[in-house]
Parts: sequence; structure tokens; C-alpha cells
Amino acid sequence: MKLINIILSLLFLSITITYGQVDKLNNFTYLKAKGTIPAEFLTLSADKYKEDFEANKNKDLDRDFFLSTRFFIDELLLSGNVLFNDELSTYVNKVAKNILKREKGLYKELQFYVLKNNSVNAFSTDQGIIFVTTGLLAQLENEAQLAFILAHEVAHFTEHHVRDGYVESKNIKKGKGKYNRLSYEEKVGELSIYSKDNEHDADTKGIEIFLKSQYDVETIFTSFEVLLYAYLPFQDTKFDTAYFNTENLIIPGNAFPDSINQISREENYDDHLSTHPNVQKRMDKAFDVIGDRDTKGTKKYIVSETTFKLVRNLARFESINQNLANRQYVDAIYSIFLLQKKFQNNKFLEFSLAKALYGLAKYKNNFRFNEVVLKLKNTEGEQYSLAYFFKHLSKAQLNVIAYRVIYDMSIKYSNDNLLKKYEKDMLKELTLKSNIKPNQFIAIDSKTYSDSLNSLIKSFDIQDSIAKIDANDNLSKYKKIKLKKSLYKLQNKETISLEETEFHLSALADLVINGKLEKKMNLILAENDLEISNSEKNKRENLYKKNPKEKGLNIQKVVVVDPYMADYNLSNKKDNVKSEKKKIELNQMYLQKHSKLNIETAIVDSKSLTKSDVAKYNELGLLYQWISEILEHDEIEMISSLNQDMQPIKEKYNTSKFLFSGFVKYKNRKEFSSNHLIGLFLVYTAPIAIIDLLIVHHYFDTFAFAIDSDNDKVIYTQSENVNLRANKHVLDAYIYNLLYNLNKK
Amino acid sequence: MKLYLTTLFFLISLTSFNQSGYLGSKYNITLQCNSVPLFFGFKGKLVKNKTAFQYGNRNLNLSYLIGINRVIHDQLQVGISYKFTPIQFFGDYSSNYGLIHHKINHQSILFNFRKVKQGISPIGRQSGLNFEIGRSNMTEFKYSIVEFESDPKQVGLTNLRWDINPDATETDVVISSTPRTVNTFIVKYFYGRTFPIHKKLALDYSLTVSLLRVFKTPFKTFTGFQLFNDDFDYNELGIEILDEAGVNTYYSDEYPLAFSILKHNDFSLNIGLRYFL
Repeated sequence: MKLINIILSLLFLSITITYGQVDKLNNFTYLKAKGTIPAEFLTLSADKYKEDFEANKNKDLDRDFFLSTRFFIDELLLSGNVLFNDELSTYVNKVAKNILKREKGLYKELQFYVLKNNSVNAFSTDQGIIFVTTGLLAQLENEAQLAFILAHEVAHFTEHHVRDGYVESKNIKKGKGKYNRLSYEEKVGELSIYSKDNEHDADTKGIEIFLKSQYDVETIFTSFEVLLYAYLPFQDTKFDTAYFNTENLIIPGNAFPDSINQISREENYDDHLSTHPNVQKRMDKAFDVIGDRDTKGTKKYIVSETTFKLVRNLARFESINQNLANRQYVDAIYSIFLLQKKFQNNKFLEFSLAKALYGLAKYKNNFRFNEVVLKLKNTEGEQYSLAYFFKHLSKAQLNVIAYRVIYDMSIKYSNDNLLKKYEKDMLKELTLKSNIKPNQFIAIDSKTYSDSLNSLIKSFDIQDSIAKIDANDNLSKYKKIKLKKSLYKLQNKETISLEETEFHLSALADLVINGKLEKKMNLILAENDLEISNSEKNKRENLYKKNPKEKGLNIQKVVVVDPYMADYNLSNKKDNVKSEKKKIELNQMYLQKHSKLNIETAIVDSKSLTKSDVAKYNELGLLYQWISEILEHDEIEMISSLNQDMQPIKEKYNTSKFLFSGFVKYKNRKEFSSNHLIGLFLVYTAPIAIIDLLIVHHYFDTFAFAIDSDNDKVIYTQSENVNLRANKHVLDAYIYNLLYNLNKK
Repeated sequence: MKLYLTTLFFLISLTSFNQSGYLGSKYNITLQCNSVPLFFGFKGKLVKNKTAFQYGNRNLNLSYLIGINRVIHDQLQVGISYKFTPIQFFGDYSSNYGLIHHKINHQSILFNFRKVKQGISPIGRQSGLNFEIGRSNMTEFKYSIVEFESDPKQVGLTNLRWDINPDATETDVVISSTPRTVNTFIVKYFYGRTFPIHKKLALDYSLTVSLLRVFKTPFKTFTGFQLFNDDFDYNELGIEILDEAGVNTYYSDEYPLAFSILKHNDFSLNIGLRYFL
């Protein structure tokens, strides 16, 4: 009886965990840090740098090392893309604790974080911070592989590879000691050799740490295999050619290739300029290190297999977010296809598919498709099939597929406003940019239409047609040749090509039948005509006006996002300490109230976070990702993949307007020029020439752009190079002016 | 012309749309000091109880300006100012004989237009035009005849001093005390910077160069360009002087009144303070 109870309890627990996981993934939006912000994030970089530098008692490292590493790491920590206290980082910490069970002192020295990034990577810093990317977590096969990679990174830290590498690379670059008289190529080679030596060393020491745990030793070798194919998606599964098919949309078989680009990478790839040795060498070395040791570890999981799988799925889901924000739409669709095998009807995956297809259509319509789809020769594995498909679709076909998918989804999730937005915009694209007229759509299903076209071609009597052409005296010799050539071409075809297969014309048959589509498209066309005529009218009206009155933005509240400040010194290097200090002052300037302006400012800033500001920290990461995506779209007006995630931030600050701005201060001394020479010759201007040469010239760049999160449009831009010293009052004046321009009616 | 420019200035002010200005201040008051370096002119003074003559500081001839400006656009500012230039001019009459000394007050109204090239009006690097309508009054015209010692003495590093032979000197002969007037219209190019040093204050530094100078004496109207011509007959300037016999004559020295005004409106370095209202 007791046993039955235990079994039932376990079963219940397992069901709860599984459902909990599915629920978590169904409501997935994006990964967020949780809990309180670690102290490491809250201390000013300048203070940490001073502390590091003072602790460097033997003075074997220069200031540059501490400056560059501290400020670089802090930039990463404060990017909003580092996860802490969430499922992923908690799990990574548990695995790390496991491998360092016997070295608790060392574990306390270290901090483990997960970085939201699709590159398959883990790295450690001299300060004891170890980062694991979501890209790596998405690729791993089991917990033991993660344990080995962490052990490898811990070894980098214990062996001081970062600082030694810095010193050595400096020596190599300067040609010091044994590197004297080396050519540039030889120096690059030496750097690579040194780095590879460090990697071997970290593998060796990492294995030592790993072997002390109970993890399966075999996973060391499979970890290397994971790294070997890290450039491919997390699975290599044949793409289902019927994936996009619906009742009306039937994509013909010839849309997909018969064969794919085979995966080319072998274990023993050329690594002579790489920072890491090739996998074969690493495996051989590992084999030597392990040798005949009595390896007791057999476990692939110690912490939890369920948690590992949840963590990996979360990382895989996040990889789609990253793909979409980085405009890797085909990669996103392939990952969605892989994940949908397990998570059918997952809202996040379905929405992401809509976003990816929308992105592809937008880029195709704006003649920038090659920016977002890799060259086919650079695509390997089963994903090639999908890339090939999109590359060969016509503009009209892609627009119809995207609209079909988005439309169906907007019906399925009829209460969702975002999908309505996508559907509306996609229909506009389809109407105005896909070169299909509303009356071209056919009210029969794709298959019937395609079959009828094929049968038409096959039943075509070429001899009869040629005879008719020959008999026609009205045709010129040239015309006859052209016509006959076309006929012979048609005769030789067994089936028509994808471009010629007009499957897309019947893909919206259900919408054509009730006449709604044509009505909607005609309305869009009429609106567009009106818009064009209005804009031409405005142009004509403004033609003779010297200063046509600009319409102001009339913004009453704006969120200032992490203002940027960089201060460069005379040697044109960024003075990190000064920049940080000035940035904090700059934040205050943005918050200053101006009685003459009717605009309120709020700030989301990385340098004023407190330990309870985790929400703000997540907002920062999202805002950075959002802005970078919008800037990449450049002149393409489209809804960002993060539009929906931005809504809570918009509601929190009660505004949809976000301002990104900053200042970069420079100073330099002028180089002697012909103007100075002339100035010196003309005796009276000599003092001016001398002063011009001696004094330090100050100037600064300023930039600002405001984005409306309602429509993801850049509504204001400004950039200027100013030949003035950017003192507090000048910066104040510029900020005032910026706010004034946003506030102007 | 004056009426036209005044009207133009106010019309621009009225029709201007809202602008930011410096921290929202559309109006500002300027106090300025202009220094005219008379690179090639002579300026000297009597020293050692009028027993010697030496060159004065030729590079510091000050004029004073007060004005009010209005920002009409992010890049544009207009202003109106009053400028006062007290001119004290000494010149050696001949190589070793004689001196001229006259005092002139030059007053003018300036209309200025500034385009900010880098910065936000009125802050930043800017250039523009000044339109100056002025009037000069000669308040005193003294003529002293002196005899210099032939060899000058070195004073300091750069200056020279000539001792005067007191026996052959007739000092402070007032040739004419009748006020004489010259009307001027001058267009100047302006280039400079305004740099904020406080929420309410900014520092101005700039230089101005004359583009066009028109002088109107009781006898003749002429432009500054004519004075650069070597063949120019200074008699044409028509500075009327009565000689001892009471006969009208024309004074034709090489440093007459108009030339003084001209030199003082040639090239100037300006420094000032701007207060934001």
C-alpha cells in the first residue's frame, strides 16, 4: 500500500512538473533576471577598478588591464542581458556547486551568470565571473556536459589565463623577448599558439576538477562534439515540406530542394589561426589526461534531468527571441519548426512564426532580403532546405504565405491586439507591394489550381501551335522565332517552376469567396491613393514656402534610456573613469525640471540601480534589444518583434515615447598644416597660428533619437558634431533643446 | 535705411515662431568690449611731461557695446546694439617734425544677424553680419608742432621714443574747435563663439571684419575702398580748416578724421558677456 502511495505521489509530482514546464513555456515571453540584483552589478566600475589595481601588489599588470577588463565586464553586466536568480542561472550555479563540492573556498570566489546570447560560448574573467550563454545551454545534451564546460572555465580562472594572456599578448604585439623580430603574420600565429596552449591547459585542469565529481567521464568527449557543430541549429532534422500547408495554402513539392548542403566540418579542421585547438586535438589531449585513471563517475545528471530539460527549452525558446531581434528569420523559423514537434499549439512559437514571416516579407518587399537570409552556399545541414525555399519564393508568394499564416493566427487568437496589428500591416504589404491585384486571387484550392496548370501544359499540342505560327503572315521572322522558342521551352518542362507555380493565387481562396479580401484590398488602395495625393498636395503647397511649418511632436512624457557618455583623452582613448562619472552627472541633467517646458522625463539607467531594481534591469535589456532591432530595420517601417514585450514598460511609465541619446567628448591638438605655415609667415597672424597649435581643442558629438513604442517608429533623430567644450552648461543647453524639440507643438 | 532696418528687425522678431534659446531664454543682453588693433597706423603719446614722444599701444583701441538679442530659430539670432568708440589719435606729421592730435567720438547703432553653425543659438560657433549706422563727432582738434631728436631711443623691447626739442616746440595749438560730423554706414562680417559659463551667463569672443564702409562728410560721400588707393587725394575728404589768416583751407594730412574712423572699423577682436533674460 505504502509503495502504491509513493508511486502515485511520484506520478502526481511528475505530472505537475511536466505541466508546470509546459505552462511556463506556453506563457513564455522572454527570459528575465529575478530577485535582488547582486552587489557586483551595483558598485561603480571606477571603484572596482581602483580596488583591483590596489590589490595588484606585485604590479605585474598595468592600469590598462584593470581598466579595460573592469569596464568591459561591467558593460556586459549592466546590459540587462545577464540572468541571475532565474531558473537558468540558478541551475548553472547548482551544477557549478556540484563540481566544486570539495573546493568550497574556490566556489565562493566565483560567480556564475547566464548571458542571453545565441553564440555557443562560455567564458571566465579574471575577477571570477563565469558567463554561460543561452546559445550554449540550448545546444547541450545533458547536465554533465555543462559541468565539464564549467570546470574548463573554472580552470581558466584558477590558472589566471586572462591576465597571463594579456601580458603575453602585449609582449607578442610589442615584439618583446623571444618575440623580437617577428613579422606581423608570425605574431598572429604566436598569439594563436599561446591561446591554444591555454585552452589545452584549461582542458587538462578542467578534467582534473571534473573527475572529482560523479559526472560521466564520457561526456567530456561529447562536449567537444557539441562544440564542433555549435554553428548549426540545436538539432539537424529534415524540414517538413508540408509545414506551411493549410487547407488553402498548398506549397508544391518543387519549392524545396532535392538535396541539401552537407555538413562540412570534421573533427580535425584547420585551427592554425584559431584561438581554440580543433576538437580532434582536444579529444586526444583529454584522452591522454584521463589515461588509465579509475573514473568512477557515471552520472549524466546530478542536479536534475527535468530541470536541465526545462533550462534547455527555456534557452531554446529565448534563442528564437534573439533570432528575431537579430533579424535571423530563417533560423527562427527552423527553431520554431523543431520546437513545435514537442510544443504544439504553443502561443509563443506561433506568434514567433508570424513575426518571422512578417519580417521576411518586409525585407523582401524593401529589396533587402539578402541582409536577412544567408547565402545558400553558407548554409549547411537540413536548414538549407528552408533557406532554399525562402530564397526561391517570389515576392508575391512570400507575402501571401506570410499573410495566410498571420491571418489564420489572428483568427485563432482573435482577442490579441498585436496579431491584429500584424494582420493589418501584412495585408497592406500584400496589397501595395506584392504586385498582385485584388482580382487576381482565385477562389479554388491550391492543389486543384496547380494540377490544372500542369495538365494544361502537358496537354499542349506543340506541332499544331507551330503550324499556326508559320501560317501567320502578319508575324515577323523575329517574332516567329521568339514564339517558337518559348513553345519548345514549355514543351520540355515536366512541371512548372516554383516562380511560375501560382499556388499563392489560390492560397486565400476562403477569403476570396466571401469578397472580404478584395474589399479590404481596394480600401487600402484607395487610402493609399488619398495619402499620395495629400502628400503631393502638401509638397506643392510647401514648395513656395521658405519655412514650411513643421508639425511638432508634442510629447508630454518621455523615458530616457541609459544616456550615453564617453570622454576621450588626448591620445584618443576612452577615459572610462571620467566617462562613468560624467554619465552619472548627465543622468541628473535629464531629470532636471524645466519650468519653460511641459515635458516630464523618467530615466531607465544602468548606473543608478539599487538591489531591488530588478524590473528596471530587465527593462534595460529589453529596451536595448528593441532599439537595436529598430535601428537595424532602418528605413523599413515595421512592427518590432518586441512590440508586445514593450507594452508593460509603456504602461508602467505611462508613455510610449523612449529617448536614446548621448554625448561623446573629444579633445586633441591640431597637427601642423599649411594653414599654420601661412599663418606664421604673415607676422601678425603668427600668434593665432601658434595658439592654434598649442591649445587643446575640444569638441563633441551628440546624438538622440526618440522612438514611439506604439508603432516602433523613429519619430525624432538628431546628430551633430559641435566644436565646443562640452561643459555642464553646454550639455544642459543641448538637453534642454532636445526636450524642447520633443515637446514642441 | 535706418528706419527700414529697424522695421525689418521688429518684423522678424514678431513673425518668429517659438524657439528654445539657451535653456528657454529667447532674449539676452550683451556687454562687449571691442579692441581694434591698428597694425599699420601710428598712435603715440607725449611722455615725460611732454618732453618726449613715443608710440602708444596700437593694439588696444577700445570701443564699448551694449545690446539686446533675440533668438528666432535654433540657428538664428538677431540683435540691436549701441556702440561707442572714443578715438584718440596721434600721428607724426612728418619724419621728424610735428604732431597731430584729435579726439573723436564715434557712436553707432548696430543691427546684427547671427547664424549659428555649430551649436544651438545663441550658444556655439556663429557667423553673421553687422549693419552699423553711425555718426562721428570730432570734439577737439589740436595741432602741435614739435621737433624730434633725430635718433629715437629704444623703450622696452619694441617701442621707440623720440625726445622733443622744447625750444622748437609749440604745443596744443587748437586749430579748430568747431564740431565736425561724419556719418557712416558700415557692414561687417562677424565670426565668433558664445560659450555658457553659468545658467544666466555666457562668454562671447569674436572678431569682425569690415566688408563695406560708406562715409558721408559735409562735402563728399566715399567708401573705404577709396582710401586704399595710393592715388587717393585726401583733400577730397574735405576736412575744412581755417588757417591763421582765417582763410578756408583743406587739411590734407595723411591721418584725417575719416581715416581714423576707417581704421577703427577695420578689424576688431571682441570679448563680452551675455546675460540671458
